[in-house]
Amino acid sequence: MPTLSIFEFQRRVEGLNQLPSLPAILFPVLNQLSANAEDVDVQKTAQLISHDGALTTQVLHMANSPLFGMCNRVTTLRAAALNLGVSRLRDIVTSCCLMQISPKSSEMDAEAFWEHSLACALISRNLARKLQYPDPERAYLAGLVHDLGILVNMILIPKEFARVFRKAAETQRPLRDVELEEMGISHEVTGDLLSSHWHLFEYLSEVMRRHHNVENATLDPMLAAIVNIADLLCRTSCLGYGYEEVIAVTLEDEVAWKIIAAKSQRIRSLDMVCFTLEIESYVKEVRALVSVLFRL
Amino acid sequence: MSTNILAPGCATPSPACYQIRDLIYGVAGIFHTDNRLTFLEDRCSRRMKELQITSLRQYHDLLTRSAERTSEMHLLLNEITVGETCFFRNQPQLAALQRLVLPSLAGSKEKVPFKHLRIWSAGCSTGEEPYTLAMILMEEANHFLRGFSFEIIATDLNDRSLLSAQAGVYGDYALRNVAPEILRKYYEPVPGAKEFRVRDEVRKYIKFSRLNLLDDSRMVFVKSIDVIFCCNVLIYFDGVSKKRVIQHFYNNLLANSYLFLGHAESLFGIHDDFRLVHFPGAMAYIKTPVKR
Repeated sequence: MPTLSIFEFQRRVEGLNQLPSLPAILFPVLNQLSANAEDVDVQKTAQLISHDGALTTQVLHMANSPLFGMCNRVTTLRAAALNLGVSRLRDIVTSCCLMQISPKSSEMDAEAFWEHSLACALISRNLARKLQYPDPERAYLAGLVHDLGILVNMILIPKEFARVFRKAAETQRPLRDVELEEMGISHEVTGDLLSSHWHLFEYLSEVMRRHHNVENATLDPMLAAIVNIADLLCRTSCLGYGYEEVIAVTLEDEVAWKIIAAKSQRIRSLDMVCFTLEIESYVKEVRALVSVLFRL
Repeated sequence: MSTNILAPGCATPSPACYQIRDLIYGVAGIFHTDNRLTFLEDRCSRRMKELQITSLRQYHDLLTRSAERTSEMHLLLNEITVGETCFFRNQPQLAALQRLVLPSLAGSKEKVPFKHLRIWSAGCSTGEEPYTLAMILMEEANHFLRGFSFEIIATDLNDRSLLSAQAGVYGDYALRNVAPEILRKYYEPVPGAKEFRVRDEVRKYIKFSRLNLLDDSRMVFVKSIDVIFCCNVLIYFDGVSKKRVIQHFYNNLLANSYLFLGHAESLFGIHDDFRLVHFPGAMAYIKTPVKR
C-alpha cells in the first residue's frame, strides 16, 4: 500500500523553491552555444565559462576524456570548442553544470546517479547515430536528464525515498517498481515537475515524463524510445543506480524497441551483442570521469 | 631434422597445408583462415614429430590414405581444440543462470508431473564448465529446483580433454575462482598432491561423450535441452558451419529455453529465431518458437 498519496506529494512540492535550481552560469552559456555553429562566438563563450574556475576545470577534464572522442589533449576552452564543435561543448557544459546538483542522501549515492545519467546520455547518442536519428546531440541531453526526478525525490521526500532505495537495493528490484509500490508515485512525475520549474524544452520534458512508458510519448516517441533502450542497457551493464538489479531484458519485446523498429529499418542491421560490448567498454571510463568531476 | 615446413618469415604455406585445412574443415567444420595457418602447421608438426614424419605432404597422405587415418584425425583434432578454462569462469553468466534462468525454467515446469532439467555443455573441454553447472544445480536443489531431477550432458571433440574431464582432478589454476566453502563441499583433496578431485556426488550428474557438433547424424539425437552452454567453441567455425551448429542447437532446445555463448559471441546474421536476452553483465539467447 503506497505510503505517500499523490495529494500529499503535491502538498509537499507546493513550495517549488525547494526544487533544485539550474546553475546560473548555464543560461548565458547555453544562449551562446544555441546559435548556429558558424555564428557562435567561441572566444566569448570561453570567456563566459572561464568566469567559473571549477566549471572550467571540469569542462576541460571532460573534453579530454576518451568518451568524447578528442584526439589531441586540449588545455584551453577555446581549443576545446574548436576541436569538439559547438554541440559537443554544449553537452559537456550542461553535463558539468547539472552534476553540481548532487544532494546528499543516506542511501543513494549521487555519484552512482550521475554515472548512470552520463552513461545513458552517451549510449543514447551512440544509438541515435547508429539509427540515423536526425539529432544525436538531442539524444545525449535527453539521456542526461531522463532520471532527474530521482534527484527531486532525494531532495523533496528524502525519508520516503531513502526507504524506497534501500528496499530496491536489498531486493535487487527496479527502483521504479519499488517507488510505485511504496509511494504510489515515481520519478517520472517528479521529473516532470522539475522540467516545468526549469522551463526545459518540451522534448526533454517528454523524455523525463515518458521514458518508462514510451507508448504515451507523442512529441518525439523515437527519442523517448532511444533513451528507454539506453537506460535498460545501462542497467544491465553495471551502470545502474549503484546496485545490481536482477533483471532479464529481451529488447525485442520492449515497446521502445517496437517503436524504433517501426521508424528505423537500421535497428535490424544492428548487432546488439557488439553494441553491448561497446557499452561495457564505457564502464571504466564513465566511472573514472564522474569520480574525478566530483572531486574537482 | 626440423619438421617445420616453412622457413621463418616465409609467407606461403605449402599446398599440403591447405589440403589439411580443407580436410579438417570437412570432418569437423573447423576452418583455419589464412592468418591461422601457422597455428595449424604448428599443431601438425607436433603430430609429425611424434610420428617421425618430415613433410606435410607425407602427413596429409597419412590423414587421407592410411588405415589409421580416422584415429590420426582424432589425434590432430585433439591438438587443435584445446581450450583454456577454469571453474566458475564467467561469473555474471553463471549468476544469470542461477538467479534468473533456473527460477524461470522451474516456474515454467511447475505443472509438469516429471520435473527434469537437461543442461548441455557443448565443448566442455577438460570438464570445468559441466562440473561448475552441476554444482550450481546442486546449490539450487533445495530452493528453486526442489523436486527436480537434473542431468548434464558434456560433450567435446577432443578425446584427450574428455579423459581429463572424466578424471576430474584439478590444480590451483583451474580452481582459482572456487570459493573455499564450495571447495570443501564439492571437492576432495588428492592424497600426496596439491590437487583436488571433484566428489562423486557431483560427477554422477554428468555424462561425458565425444561429439562433433557438425555430425548431423548424432546431433539430431540430442533432445529436449533446457539450457545449452557453448562458450568459445563457435570461434573455431566458419559462417556456414556456425549456421549448421546453431540450427542444430535450435532443434535440440525446448521452446523458451536458453543458449549461452562466449562473452563476445553473437548470432547476428547467423540465426534469426533466437532472441537476445540481457542479464546483469551477461547475455544469452532464448529460443522462440517460429511463428507460422
